[in-house]
Amino acid sequence: MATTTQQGQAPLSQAERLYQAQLRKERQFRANVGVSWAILFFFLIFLFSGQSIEVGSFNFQTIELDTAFILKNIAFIAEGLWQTLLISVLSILFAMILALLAALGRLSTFPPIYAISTFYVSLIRGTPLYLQIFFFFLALPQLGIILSGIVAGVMALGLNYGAYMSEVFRAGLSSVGKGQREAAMALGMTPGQTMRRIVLPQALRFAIPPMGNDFISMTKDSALVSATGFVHELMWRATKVGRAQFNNLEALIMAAMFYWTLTLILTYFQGKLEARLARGDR
Amino acid sequence: MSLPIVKISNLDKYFGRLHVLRNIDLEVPERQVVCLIGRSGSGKSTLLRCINFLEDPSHGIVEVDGIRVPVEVKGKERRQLVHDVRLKTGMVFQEFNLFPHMSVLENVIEGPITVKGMDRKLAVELAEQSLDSVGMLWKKDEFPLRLSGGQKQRVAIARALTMQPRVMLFDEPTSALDPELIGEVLNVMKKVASEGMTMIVVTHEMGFAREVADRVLVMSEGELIEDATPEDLFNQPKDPRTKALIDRYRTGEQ
Repeated sequence: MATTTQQGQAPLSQAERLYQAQLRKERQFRANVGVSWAILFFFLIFLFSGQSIEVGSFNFQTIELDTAFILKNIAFIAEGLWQTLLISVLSILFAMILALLAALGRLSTFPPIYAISTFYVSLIRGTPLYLQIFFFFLALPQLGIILSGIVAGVMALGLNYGAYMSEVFRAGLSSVGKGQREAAMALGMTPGQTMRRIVLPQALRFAIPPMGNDFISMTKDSALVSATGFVHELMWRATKVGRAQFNNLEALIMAAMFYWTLTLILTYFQGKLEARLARGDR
Repeated sequence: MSLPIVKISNLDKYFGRLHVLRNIDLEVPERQVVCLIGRSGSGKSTLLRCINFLEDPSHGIVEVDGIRVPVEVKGKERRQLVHDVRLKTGMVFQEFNLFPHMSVLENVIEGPITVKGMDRKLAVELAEQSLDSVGMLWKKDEFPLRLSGGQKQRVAIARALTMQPRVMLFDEPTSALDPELIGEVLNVMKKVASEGMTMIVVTHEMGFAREVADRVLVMSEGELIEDATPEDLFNQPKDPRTKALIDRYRTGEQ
C-alpha cells in the first residue's frame, strides 16, 4: 500500500503524501505513549511484587503484599462498586436538576429567584463537601430528621455538585448567541418556547462533556460518604477490612484499582460521547 | 390608497443616554419595497428592529397591519400585541441566525409548528414550497453548518416566508456574505419583491436599492433625512449628507 507508484497508478500528490506523513507521525506518537504507559504500569506492579534484587552490593526489596488477604477480601470490596455507582448516578441526576434550576434562576430578572439561585451556589461553594456530608448524617438527626445512608449521601453530593455544575449550565446558556434568541422571538416564539426549543438544546449539547467530567469526579468524591459509616460503598469496605486485619495497604490498593478502572471505563465512554456530540456541531 | 402595512409615529429610541432614533414618522403601503440606507450608527437597524420589537421604542407608536402598539401599553396586553406584530413580520438577519441544532427543513417548520400550532404535515408542505422558491429544497436535510453563507441566508428567507408574514424586514442581509455569494441572495430578494411582498431592507447594496426599491429612505444620526424614489435620490439628492453618502458608495463601487 505504501508504494502506489506502480505502473498504471497515478503517483500520490504532494498534499496526499504530506497528509499521510502527518497521520503516520500521529500514529507513532500514540503508539509510543501506549508503550510508555505499559512500562509505567508494569513498573508499578513490579514495585508491589515482593521481589528482591541484588545490584552489586545493594539489595533492593520491593513491597510485598499479602496475597492471601487480597484474595479473601476482593469480592467483599468489589461489592461496594454497586453502591458507589448507585450513589453517583442518583447524585448526578439530582445535581443536574438543581444545576439547571440554579442556572435558569441566574438568568431571571425576578430578584427573589435570582437571589435564591446565587444564595444556594454561594452557600454550597463556600463550605466543604466533607462538612456538608456530615451535616446530613449527623446534624439533621439532631432535628429529628433521620435519612437513610443513601438518601443523605445523595442529598449532600447532589446539592454540592449541583452548585458547581450550575456554572457549567450557565456557560452553556451563555454560549448560545443573542442572535438565536432574536431569531426565535422574531418568529413569534414566547420566552418559554425560545428556551425549550432553541436555547436549551444548544446549551445542553455544550454542557454534556463537562457534566461527564463531573460525573467521573463524583464517583470518586462518593468515597467521602464512607466516613459516615452508613453507606457500604468501595471506600467503606476497604477501610473496614483494612483496619480490622491491619492490612490497610492491600485494602486501599484494591479500592484504588477499582476506582481507577471505573474511571478509565467512564472516561472512555465520555470520550465517545464527546466525539459524537462534536459531529454536526456549528 | 390602502391602509399602510407599517406605520410609525413619533418614534424615539434611547440606548442609555444615547438618542439613536429621533422622532421618526414613516408609512409603508402594501407591496412597497423600501430600502433604508445610511452610514453605520445612523440608526437604520434600530429602526427596523423597532418594527418587530426586537428593540423597544422609548416613545411613539408602531402599527403593523392594523395592530397598534403605543409605548404606553404595558404588561400582558403589550406582550400579546407584540406577539401579534411578530406574526405579521418576517425578519432576516445579517448573521442568518439559523438554528444550528436543526436541519434546514426543521428550521423552516419550527415557526409554523411551535408558534402557530400547525399540523406537521401541512407545515412540511409549506416549508418545502418556500425552500423550493429560494432554491434550497435540495438541501432540506442538511444542517446549517454544511451550507455556504448565501445558502444559509436563502434558508433564513424561506424560514421567514413560511410564516406568511405581511411584511418582510431585512437587516443588512448581504453584509456578512463573501462578495461572490451576494448575488444569489439579492436574486431571491428580488423574486420575493416581484411576488408582491412588502419589504423594508436595511442595506448597503446601492445597486439593489436602485433596481428593486420603490422608495429609498436615508438616515443620519437617528433622523430620516431623505425619502425619495431611487431615481430622484441617486440623480438629484436634496440633502448634502445624502450626496456625500452616495458619492462614497460610487467611489467604493469603482
